[in-house]
Amino acid sequence: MIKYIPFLFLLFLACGCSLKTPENQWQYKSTNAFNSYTKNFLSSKDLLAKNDLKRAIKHAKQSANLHQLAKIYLGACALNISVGTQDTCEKYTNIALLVENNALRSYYKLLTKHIKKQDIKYLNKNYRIFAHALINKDYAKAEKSIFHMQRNSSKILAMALLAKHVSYASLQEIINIASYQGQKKVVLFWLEESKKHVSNPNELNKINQKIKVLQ
Amino acid sequence: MHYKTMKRTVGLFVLTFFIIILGSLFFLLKEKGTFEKRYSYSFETDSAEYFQLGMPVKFSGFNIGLIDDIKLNDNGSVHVAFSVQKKYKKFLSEGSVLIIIKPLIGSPHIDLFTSVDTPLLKENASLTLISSDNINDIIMSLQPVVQKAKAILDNVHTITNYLASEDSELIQILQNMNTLSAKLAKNDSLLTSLTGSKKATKDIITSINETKHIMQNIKKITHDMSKITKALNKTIIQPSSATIKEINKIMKDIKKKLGSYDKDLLQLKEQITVGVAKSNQIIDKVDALMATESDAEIQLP
Repeated sequence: MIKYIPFLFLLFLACGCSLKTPENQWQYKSTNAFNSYTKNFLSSKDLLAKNDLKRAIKHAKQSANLHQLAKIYLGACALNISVGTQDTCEKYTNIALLVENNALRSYYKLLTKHIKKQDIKYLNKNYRIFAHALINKDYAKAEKSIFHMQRNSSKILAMALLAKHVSYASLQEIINIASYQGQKKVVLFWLEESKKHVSNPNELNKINQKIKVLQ
Repeated sequence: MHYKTMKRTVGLFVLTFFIIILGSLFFLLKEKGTFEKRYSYSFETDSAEYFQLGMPVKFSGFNIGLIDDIKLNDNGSVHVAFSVQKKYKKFLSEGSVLIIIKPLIGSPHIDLFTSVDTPLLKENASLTLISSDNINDIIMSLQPVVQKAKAILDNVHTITNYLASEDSELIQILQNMNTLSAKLAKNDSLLTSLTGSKKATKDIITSINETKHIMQNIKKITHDMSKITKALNKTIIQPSSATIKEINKIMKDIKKKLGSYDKDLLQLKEQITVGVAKSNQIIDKVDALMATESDAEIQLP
């Protein structure tokens, strides 16, 4: 068996060398860095997240195609909103004119709650029912639609956009989802929000203690 | 190879190896001066606070000896013995003094200052130790100065209070001046006959009186000032000047040390930045190895 190990090693090396790297490596690197940023940001690993975002932006700036960069700026803005941080997506708006993309524009409008009916078709399927309900101010429907969304990150963002109108049950549900995924920042934000729904001093004390422990 | 020959060869090799090791060790220790005769000297000090066994004795920045023993005498003083290597014995002559240097940053050490053209010191001779002030000593020495300055300020306060009080000379003089000028104003016939004008006479009288009293006041104030400055010179300016010189020396020392740390920190920062950039490159490469087609597009939340 031992004599086969060097052979296997050489084979593995040959396979590795034969793999062709894509020419748009900057895009792969930027996407990977942004995905890492998302994970670290939501988990409250701020130092790592900062570094990841820097890397994502740096790689995106390797190309004259600013679509990737605009997506990064919008993504970062969406994440901030997801955890209750005020963000006007200024960085995106600075380059928005250079990126003619309806999907991104509609997404930006959703984030800033300026979405209109004609923009809905450009949105990701995840958000269409939610956006429609939001325009019609049918908050109960919007809330219901959140839990039909496939991606958890979309659920968290939609919940944050609907923050003032969500029920305590939905709020608990989102805390459970974020807790399961270890998204500390989201958990802390929704624990703070849940205080507004609680009047019982014991319950309030419990929430405060939970926040204290997590911080 | 025959077994016996092999055994001898291995034995010879091991023996040679040990001889070389021991030889190197001996050479190293010899070069370090371990086998050289050392000459002992001593000095007395009030406190052993800054001394410790093995503390270096320096001459012109070189370590020439070290403290071997510290003992507390019956009279409360401290006896410190140190030794120097044979080759450095020549620097210890009669009249040589030791100064304990206590820098703000770094460990304290003893500096030897020797006098030229004086006979060499005999072994076990005692030297004089001078203590240089550190920042704590300076603060301690400043305390009486501050107290004296406070006393002087109190005196100045008393003087000004006295001058301003109702029964002070200054106030009395001013009152007298007032009375005199009033009298002159009423009886100005003498000067009026000289000046030919009542107004001019009045002005002259006022001016003369004012000048006289101003001169008296100035004399008094100058006298007081002279007293104060004399006291200031003795109690504040001279000690403060010495203290400032000491502080200046310490600050230079700190600046020198911080300067070198600053350079080191900049280098360290640069190295860390390069390290981070390199680790980022590695992360990118690892990510690229795992990348699939779907990883080219960012999925917005």
